Amino acid sequence: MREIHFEQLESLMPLIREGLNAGRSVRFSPRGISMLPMLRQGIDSVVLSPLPEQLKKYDILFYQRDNGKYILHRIVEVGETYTCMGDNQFVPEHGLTDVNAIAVVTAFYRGERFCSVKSPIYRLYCVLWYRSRHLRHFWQRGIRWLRRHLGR
Amino acid sequence: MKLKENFVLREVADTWVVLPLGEATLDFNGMLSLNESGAMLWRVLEHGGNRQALLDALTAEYDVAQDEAQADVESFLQKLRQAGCLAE
Repeated sequence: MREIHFEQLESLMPLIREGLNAGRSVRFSPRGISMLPMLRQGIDSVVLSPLPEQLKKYDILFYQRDNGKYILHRIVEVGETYTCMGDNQFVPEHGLTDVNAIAVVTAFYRGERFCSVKSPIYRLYCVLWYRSRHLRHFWQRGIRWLRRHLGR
Repeated sequence: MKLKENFVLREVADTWVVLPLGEATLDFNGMLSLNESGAMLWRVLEHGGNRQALLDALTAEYDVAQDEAQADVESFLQKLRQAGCLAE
């Protein structure tokens, strides 16, 4: 007997889809570091809800890539298709469609603290974090360069 | 000792999962998944079995010593209690 971890979620996708189709929300802990600093693996969790009529920029989308992999990343551009990118990433993923989209994050838990995606502080984080991406990328590359050349 | 009515055991891809019914959010955080023996014990409880019935089922089905089976049953019940599945 054991508790469920994200590794098992792929196999539990039928249950997740069933729940979403019935209009229920689903809470689980995502795996990986691509949504740092917002989501820390093993500590934070998200509440997924059925897709709204229209997805918006900064929504966090749970989707399935054409290769079958399940991903949780932020929408950073909405056009004819969606462009998504993890908060800890700098390379956007283009060309996602409604066929890929499964659910959207409507709330999350930082540890045990409940946070709604409607919170003004969270909305501010979304905008500031995304808009500072070039600066953050430059800073990260600078630190790497220094480490390499200073031998640290 | 019996199971609360708002939980149901489901098999998905070789895993047995205890699902809460009726709640707006299906919470996979801390949701119980059971192995084969856990699922068997669950079914015993579903049929109204008591602690002794669980013990009997486990020793009948698996080659396990009495004291080991007793510890397994207690651990199973403890997990169920923590997950809020038991109405005692």
